[in-house]
Amino acid sequence: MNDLILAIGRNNIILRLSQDSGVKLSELAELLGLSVTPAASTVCADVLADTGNDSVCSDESPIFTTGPLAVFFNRKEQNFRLNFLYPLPELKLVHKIYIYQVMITFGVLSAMLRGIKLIPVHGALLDNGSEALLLCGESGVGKSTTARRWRESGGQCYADDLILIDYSGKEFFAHPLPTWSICKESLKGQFYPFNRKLPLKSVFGLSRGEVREYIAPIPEDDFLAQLYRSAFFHILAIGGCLPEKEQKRLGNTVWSGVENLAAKFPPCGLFAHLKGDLKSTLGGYL
Amino acid sequence: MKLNPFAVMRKSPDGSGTLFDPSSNKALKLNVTGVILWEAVANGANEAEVTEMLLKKFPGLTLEQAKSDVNYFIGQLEKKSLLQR
Repeated sequence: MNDLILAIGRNNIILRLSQDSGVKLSELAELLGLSVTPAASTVCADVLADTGNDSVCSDESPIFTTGPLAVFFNRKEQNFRLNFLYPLPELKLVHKIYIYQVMITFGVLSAMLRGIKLIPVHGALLDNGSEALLLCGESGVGKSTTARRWRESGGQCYADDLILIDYSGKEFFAHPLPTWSICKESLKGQFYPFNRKLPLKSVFGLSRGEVREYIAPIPEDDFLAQLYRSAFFHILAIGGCLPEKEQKRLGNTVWSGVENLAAKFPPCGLFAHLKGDLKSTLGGYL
Repeated sequence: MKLNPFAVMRKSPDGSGTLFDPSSNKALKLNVTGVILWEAVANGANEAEVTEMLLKKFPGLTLEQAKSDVNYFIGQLEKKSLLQR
Protein backbone atom coordinates (compact mmCIF):
# COMPACT_ATOMS: atom_id res chain seq x y z
CA MET A 1 0.00 0.00 0.00
CA ASN A 2 2.44 2.63 -1.18
CA ASP A 3 0.48 5.05 -3.33
CA LEU A 4 -2.75 6.89 -3.57
CA ILE A 5 -4.83 6.62 -6.71
CA LEU A 6 -7.15 9.35 -7.91
CA ALA A 7 -10.29 8.51 -9.85
CA ILE A 8 -12.25 11.33 -11.40
CA GLY A 9 -16.02 11.04 -11.88
CA ARG A 10 -18.71 13.55 -12.80
CA ASN A 11 -19.16 14.77 -9.24
CA ASN A 12 -16.47 12.76 -7.54
CA ILE A 13 -12.81 12.13 -7.27
CA ILE A 14 -12.00 8.82 -5.64
CA LEU A 15 -8.63 8.47 -4.06
CA ARG A 16 -7.53 4.97 -3.31
CA LEU A 17 -4.41 3.51 -1.78
CA SER A 18 -2.53 1.44 -4.31
CA GLN A 19 0.84 0.07 -5.32
CA ASP A 20 0.88 1.90 -8.65
CA SER A 21 1.51 5.45 -9.71
CA GLY A 22 1.63 7.22 -13.01
CA VAL A 23 0.17 10.61 -13.87
CA LYS A 24 1.95 13.56 -12.38
CA LEU A 25 0.01 16.08 -10.34
CA SER A 26 0.93 18.71 -12.91
CA GLU A 27 -0.83 16.64 -15.59
CA LEU A 28 -3.85 16.24 -13.37
CA ALA A 29 -3.86 19.97 -12.72
CA GLU A 30 -3.81 20.52 -16.47
CA LEU A 31 -6.70 18.10 -16.87
CA LEU A 32 -8.68 20.23 -14.44
CA GLY A 33 -7.78 23.36 -16.36
CA LEU A 34 -5.25 24.71 -13.93
CA SER A 35 -2.32 26.16 -15.82
CA VAL A 36 0.12 25.71 -12.98
CA THR A 37 2.99 23.42 -12.34
CA PRO A 38 3.19 22.24 -8.76
CA ALA A 39 6.47 22.41 -6.96
CA ALA A 40 6.04 18.79 -6.01
CA SER A 41 6.62 17.71 -9.59
CA THR A 42 8.04 14.42 -8.40
CA VAL A 43 4.74 13.59 -6.72
CA CYS A 44 2.67 11.15 -8.70
CA ALA A 45 -0.92 10.04 -8.67
CA ASP A 46 -2.95 7.84 -10.97
CA VAL A 47 -6.17 8.81 -12.68
CA LEU A 48 -8.74 6.04 -12.89
CA ALA A 49 -12.01 5.88 -14.81
CA ASP A 50 -15.16 7.92 -14.20
CA THR A 51 -17.22 6.72 -11.30
CA GLY A 52 -20.36 8.87 -11.27
CA ASN A 53 -21.39 7.72 -7.82
CA ASP A 54 -22.95 10.53 -5.77
CA SER A 55 -24.61 8.87 -2.83
CA VAL A 56 -23.02 8.33 0.56
CA CYS A 57 -23.02 4.63 1.45
CA SER A 58 -23.10 3.10 4.92
CA ASP A 59 -19.40 2.23 4.78
CA GLU A 60 -18.46 5.88 4.39
CA SER A 61 -17.48 8.34 7.10
CA PRO A 62 -17.11 12.05 6.42
CA ILE A 63 -13.53 13.19 7.00
CA PHE A 64 -13.73 16.89 6.36
CA THR A 65 -15.41 19.48 4.20
CA THR A 66 -13.72 22.41 2.56
CA GLY A 67 -15.71 24.92 0.52
CA PRO A 68 -17.75 23.06 -2.11
CA LEU A 69 -15.96 19.81 -1.39
CA ALA A 70 -16.62 16.98 1.06
CA VAL A 71 -14.15 14.15 1.68
CA PHE A 72 -15.44 10.73 2.71
CA PHE A 73 -13.50 7.64 3.71
CA ASN A 74 -14.84 4.23 2.74
CA ARG A 75 -13.77 1.74 5.41
CA LYS A 76 -14.65 -1.30 3.33
CA GLU A 77 -13.01 -0.22 0.09
CA GLN A 78 -10.20 1.66 1.89
CA ASN A 79 -10.56 4.68 -0.35
CA PHE A 80 -11.42 8.32 -0.15
CA ARG A 81 -14.21 10.00 -2.10
CA LEU A 82 -14.36 13.69 -2.78
CA ASN A 83 -17.86 14.91 -3.49
CA PHE A 84 -18.60 18.27 -5.11
CA LEU A 85 -21.65 20.48 -5.10
CA TYR A 86 -21.26 20.87 -8.85
CA PRO A 87 -20.47 18.41 -11.65
CA LEU A 88 -16.78 18.63 -12.53
CA PRO A 89 -17.25 20.24 -15.97
CA GLU A 90 -19.16 23.08 -14.31
CA LEU A 91 -16.59 23.70 -11.63
CA LYS A 92 -15.31 27.24 -11.42
CA LEU A 93 -11.74 28.16 -10.65
CA VAL A 94 -12.58 28.59 -6.99
CA HIS A 95 -13.74 24.96 -6.84
CA LYS A 96 -10.78 23.68 -8.80
CA ILE A 97 -8.47 25.29 -6.29
CA TYR A 98 -10.03 23.17 -3.56
CA ILE A 99 -9.40 20.07 -5.65
CA TYR A 100 -5.87 21.20 -6.26
CA GLN A 101 -5.30 21.73 -2.55
CA VAL A 102 -6.61 18.27 -1.69
CA MET A 103 -4.62 16.72 -4.55
CA ILE A 104 -1.44 18.29 -3.26
CA THR A 105 -2.15 16.99 0.23
CA PHE A 106 -2.85 13.45 -1.01
CA GLY A 107 0.08 13.61 -3.40
CA VAL A 108 2.51 14.65 -0.69
CA LEU A 109 1.23 11.89 1.59
CA SER A 110 1.67 9.39 -1.22
CA ALA A 111 5.20 10.61 -1.93
CA MET A 112 6.19 10.41 1.73
CA LEU A 113 4.89 6.86 2.03
CA ARG A 114 6.94 5.95 -1.03
CA GLY A 115 10.07 7.20 0.71
CA ILE A 116 10.50 10.59 -0.99
CA LYS A 117 12.07 12.87 1.58
CA LEU A 118 9.51 15.65 1.86
CA ILE A 119 7.93 17.31 4.87
CA PRO A 120 4.73 19.29 4.30
CA VAL A 121 4.99 22.04 6.89
CA HIS A 122 2.20 24.39 7.90
CA GLY A 123 3.99 27.68 8.20
CA ALA A 124 5.16 30.88 6.52
CA LEU A 125 8.23 31.11 4.31
CA LEU A 126 10.06 34.43 4.37
CA ASP A 127 12.26 34.83 1.36
CA ASN A 128 15.03 37.31 0.45
CA GLY A 129 15.27 36.20 -3.16
CA SER A 130 18.02 33.66 -2.64
CA GLU A 131 17.39 32.03 0.76
CA ALA A 132 14.40 31.38 2.97
CA LEU A 133 13.40 31.33 6.61
CA LEU A 134 10.64 29.01 7.81
CA LEU A 135 8.25 30.09 10.55
CA CYS A 136 6.10 27.44 12.23
CA GLY A 137 3.35 28.08 14.70
CA GLU A 138 -0.21 27.48 15.72
CA SER A 139 -3.06 28.88 13.64
CA GLY A 140 -3.72 32.44 14.73
CA VAL A 141 -0.27 33.04 16.22
CA GLY A 142 0.61 35.56 13.50
CA LYS A 143 2.19 33.74 10.54
CA SER A 144 0.22 35.72 7.96
CA THR A 145 0.76 38.98 9.84
CA THR A 146 4.50 38.32 10.02
CA ALA A 147 4.48 37.44 6.31
CA ARG A 148 2.73 40.74 5.54
CA ARG A 149 5.21 42.67 7.70
CA TRP A 150 8.08 40.95 5.87
CA ARG A 151 6.61 42.00 2.50
CA GLU A 152 6.12 45.57 3.76
CA SER A 153 9.77 45.67 4.78
CA GLY A 154 10.81 44.80 1.21
CA GLY A 155 11.06 41.01 1.50
CA GLN A 156 9.13 38.35 -0.38
CA CYS A 157 6.71 35.79 0.97
CA TYR A 158 4.71 33.58 -1.35
CA ALA A 159 3.53 31.01 1.17
CA ASP A 160 1.93 31.36 4.57
CA ASP A 161 0.11 28.06 4.68
CA LEU A 162 1.90 25.05 3.19
CA ILE A 163 5.59 24.69 2.44
CA LEU A 164 7.21 21.53 1.19
CA ILE A 165 10.61 20.92 2.70
CA ASP A 166 12.83 18.70 0.58
CA TYR A 167 15.57 17.01 2.60
CA SER A 168 16.69 14.46 0.04
CA GLY A 169 20.22 15.88 -0.10
CA LYS A 170 22.65 17.49 2.30
CA GLU A 171 20.84 20.83 2.14
CA PHE A 172 17.24 21.57 3.03
CA PHE A 173 15.22 23.22 0.28
CA ALA A 174 11.84 24.88 0.66
CA HIS A 175 9.11 24.93 -2.00
CA PRO A 176 6.49 27.56 -1.28
CA LEU A 177 2.95 26.47 -2.17
CA PRO A 178 0.20 29.01 -2.67
CA THR A 179 -1.79 30.57 0.07
CA TRP A 180 -5.09 28.98 -0.87
CA SER A 181 -7.29 31.75 0.48
CA ILE A 182 -5.72 34.14 -2.04
CA CYS A 183 -5.80 31.58 -4.87
CA LYS A 184 -9.51 31.13 -4.41
CA GLU A 185 -10.06 34.74 -5.49
CA SER A 186 -8.17 34.28 -8.74
CA LEU A 187 -4.97 32.91 -10.16
CA LYS A 188 -4.91 35.70 -12.73
CA GLY A 189 -2.54 38.50 -11.92
CA GLN A 190 -1.00 36.46 -9.13
CA PHE A 191 2.54 35.26 -9.41
CA TYR A 192 3.03 31.93 -7.73
CA PRO A 193 6.51 30.58 -8.32
CA PHE A 194 5.55 26.91 -8.03
CA ASN A 195 8.94 25.79 -9.22
CA ARG A 196 10.78 28.04 -6.83
CA LYS A 197 13.24 26.10 -4.71
CA LEU A 198 15.05 28.00 -2.01
CA PRO A 199 17.77 26.82 0.35
CA LEU A 200 16.50 26.98 3.91
CA LYS A 201 18.66 29.21 6.09
CA SER A 202 16.74 29.26 9.38
CA VAL A 203 13.74 27.67 11.07
CA PHE A 204 11.92 29.39 13.93
CA GLY A 205 8.95 28.58 16.08
CA LEU A 206 6.69 31.63 16.04
CA SER A 207 5.19 33.12 19.21
CA ARG A 208 4.00 36.54 20.21
CA GLY A 209 6.48 38.83 21.99
CA GLU A 210 4.72 40.52 24.90
CA VAL A 211 6.48 43.88 24.83
CA ARG A 212 9.07 43.70 22.06
CA GLU A 213 10.27 41.60 19.15
CA TYR A 214 13.22 39.26 19.58
CA ILE A 215 14.76 35.92 18.74
CA ALA A 216 15.70 33.54 21.55
CA PRO A 217 16.55 29.87 22.02
CA ILE A 218 13.58 27.72 23.03
CA PRO A 219 13.57 24.27 24.70
CA GLU A 220 14.37 21.54 22.18
CA ASP A 221 11.26 19.55 23.12
CA ASP A 222 9.01 22.57 22.47
CA PHE A 223 10.70 23.08 19.10
CA LEU A 224 10.29 19.42 18.12
CA ALA A 225 6.66 19.38 19.27
CA GLN A 226 5.94 22.51 17.21
CA LEU A 227 7.67 21.10 14.12
CA TYR A 228 5.94 17.71 14.43
CA ARG A 229 2.53 19.31 14.78
CA SER A 230 3.19 21.68 11.84
CA ALA A 231 4.36 18.78 9.68
CA PHE A 232 1.13 16.87 10.36
CA PHE A 233 -1.23 19.85 10.08
CA HIS A 234 -2.30 19.21 6.49
CA ILE A 235 -2.16 15.41 6.53
CA LEU A 236 -3.52 14.46 9.94
CA ALA A 237 -7.17 13.92 8.89
CA ILE A 238 -6.27 11.92 5.80
CA GLY A 239 -3.38 10.07 7.44
CA GLY A 240 -5.72 9.03 10.26
CA CYS A 241 -7.70 6.95 7.75
CA LEU A 242 -4.76 4.84 6.69
CA PRO A 243 -4.51 1.28 8.02
CA GLU A 244 -2.82 1.24 11.44
CA LYS A 245 0.46 -0.16 10.11
CA GLU A 246 0.63 2.62 7.50
CA GLN A 247 -0.25 5.23 10.14
CA LYS A 248 2.70 4.04 12.20
CA ARG A 249 4.93 4.22 9.13
CA LEU A 250 3.67 7.71 8.33
CA GLY A 251 4.33 8.84 11.92
CA ASN A 252 7.88 7.50 11.77
CA THR A 253 8.45 9.07 8.35
CA VAL A 254 7.28 12.51 9.49
CA TRP A 255 9.24 12.20 12.73
CA SER A 256 12.39 11.29 10.86
CA GLY A 257 12.01 14.41 8.70
CA VAL A 258 11.40 16.56 11.78
CA GLU A 259 14.44 15.14 13.57
CA ASN A 260 16.55 15.84 10.48
CA LEU A 261 15.27 19.41 10.41
CA ALA A 262 15.89 19.90 14.13
CA ALA A 263 19.40 18.45 13.85
CA LYS A 264 20.27 21.07 11.23
CA PHE A 265 18.60 24.09 12.80
CA PRO A 266 19.03 24.97 16.49
CA PRO A 267 15.78 25.34 18.45
CA CYS A 268 14.95 29.02 18.23
CA GLY A 269 11.82 31.10 18.48
CA LEU A 270 10.82 34.37 16.88
CA PHE A 271 8.80 36.31 19.42
CA ALA A 272 7.07 38.71 17.05
CA HIS A 273 5.73 42.11 18.01
CA LEU A 274 3.92 44.56 15.75
CA LYS A 275 6.11 47.42 16.93
CA GLY A 276 9.30 45.57 16.07
CA ASP A 277 11.51 46.10 13.04
CA LEU A 278 11.29 42.65 11.45
CA LYS A 279 14.06 43.24 8.93
CA SER A 280 16.51 44.19 11.64
CA THR A 281 15.28 41.43 14.03
CA LEU A 282 15.96 38.81 11.35
CA GLY A 283 19.16 40.53 10.24
CA GLY A 284 21.70 37.72 10.59
CA TYR A 285 19.21 34.93 10.05
CA LEU A 286 18.06 35.69 6.50
CA MET B 1 -4.78 -1.36 24.50
CA LYS B 2 -3.73 0.54 21.43
CA LEU B 3 -1.30 3.45 21.30
CA ASN B 4 -1.90 6.46 19.08
CA PRO B 5 0.10 5.39 15.98
CA PHE B 6 1.27 8.97 15.34
CA ALA B 7 2.68 9.39 18.86
CA VAL B 8 6.46 9.24 19.04
CA MET B 9 8.53 8.61 22.15
CA ARG B 10 12.04 10.02 22.37
CA LYS B 11 14.19 8.36 25.01
CA SER B 12 16.86 10.30 26.90
CA PRO B 13 20.17 8.75 27.98
CA ASP B 14 18.98 8.82 31.65
CA GLY B 15 16.04 6.53 30.79
CA SER B 16 13.34 9.20 30.94
CA GLY B 17 11.52 10.18 27.78
CA THR B 18 9.36 12.66 25.92
CA LEU B 19 6.17 11.96 23.98
CA PHE B 20 5.29 13.92 20.87
CA ASP B 21 1.80 13.87 19.43
CA PRO B 22 0.83 15.80 16.29
CA SER B 23 -2.48 16.89 17.76
CA SER B 24 -0.69 18.87 20.49
CA ASN B 25 2.06 21.45 20.31
CA LYS B 26 3.29 20.49 23.78
CA ALA B 27 5.62 17.58 24.49
CA LEU B 28 4.76 15.25 27.36
CA LYS B 29 7.55 14.24 29.75
CA LEU B 30 7.77 10.65 30.99
CA ASN B 31 9.87 9.50 33.93
CA VAL B 32 11.82 6.23 33.78
CA THR B 33 8.79 4.22 34.93
CA GLY B 34 6.59 5.95 32.38
CA VAL B 35 9.02 4.99 29.61
CA ILE B 36 9.03 1.35 30.79
CA LEU B 37 5.22 1.29 30.80
CA TRP B 38 4.98 3.01 27.40
CA GLU B 39 7.41 0.56 25.84
CA ALA B 40 5.52 -2.38 27.34
CA VAL B 41 2.21 -1.16 25.91
CA ALA B 42 3.91 -0.48 22.57
CA ASN B 43 5.06 -4.11 22.57
CA GLY B 44 1.48 -5.29 23.04
CA ALA B 45 1.32 -5.83 26.81
CA ASN B 46 -2.11 -5.64 28.45
CA GLU B 47 -2.86 -3.97 31.81
CA ALA B 48 -2.18 -7.12 33.87
CA GLU B 49 1.13 -7.74 32.10
CA VAL B 50 2.20 -4.12 32.56
CA THR B 51 1.34 -4.35 36.28
CA GLU B 52 3.34 -7.55 36.60
CA MET B 53 6.29 -5.93 34.88
CA LEU B 54 6.15 -3.00 37.28
CA LEU B 55 6.12 -5.34 40.30
CA LYS B 56 9.20 -7.15 38.99
CA LYS B 57 11.00 -3.87 38.37
CA PHE B 58 10.10 -2.42 41.78
CA PRO B 59 9.88 -5.33 44.27
CA GLY B 60 8.92 -3.00 47.16
CA LEU B 61 5.67 -2.09 45.42
CA THR B 62 2.41 -3.73 46.55
CA LEU B 63 0.01 -5.18 43.99
CA GLU B 64 -2.55 -2.47 44.81
CA GLN B 65 0.02 0.31 44.35
CA ALA B 66 1.19 -1.15 41.06
CA LYS B 67 -2.39 -1.50 39.78
CA SER B 68 -3.18 2.04 40.85
CA ASP B 69 -0.01 3.42 39.16
CA VAL B 70 -0.75 1.58 35.92
CA ASN B 71 -4.36 2.68 35.98
CA TYR B 72 -3.33 6.31 36.54
CA PHE B 73 -0.71 6.17 33.78
CA ILE B 74 -3.13 4.64 31.29
CA GLY B 75 -5.86 7.10 32.30
CA GLN B 76 -3.53 10.04 31.66
CA LEU B 77 -2.59 8.70 28.22
CA GLU B 78 -6.27 8.12 27.43
CA LYS B 79 -7.14 11.70 28.40
CA LYS B 80 -4.55 12.96 25.94
CA SER B 81 -5.77 10.58 23.20
CA LEU B 82 -2.42 8.80 23.23
CA LEU B 83 -3.96 5.44 24.05
CA GLN B 84 -7.25 3.60 23.51
CA ARG B 85 -8.43 0.81 25.85
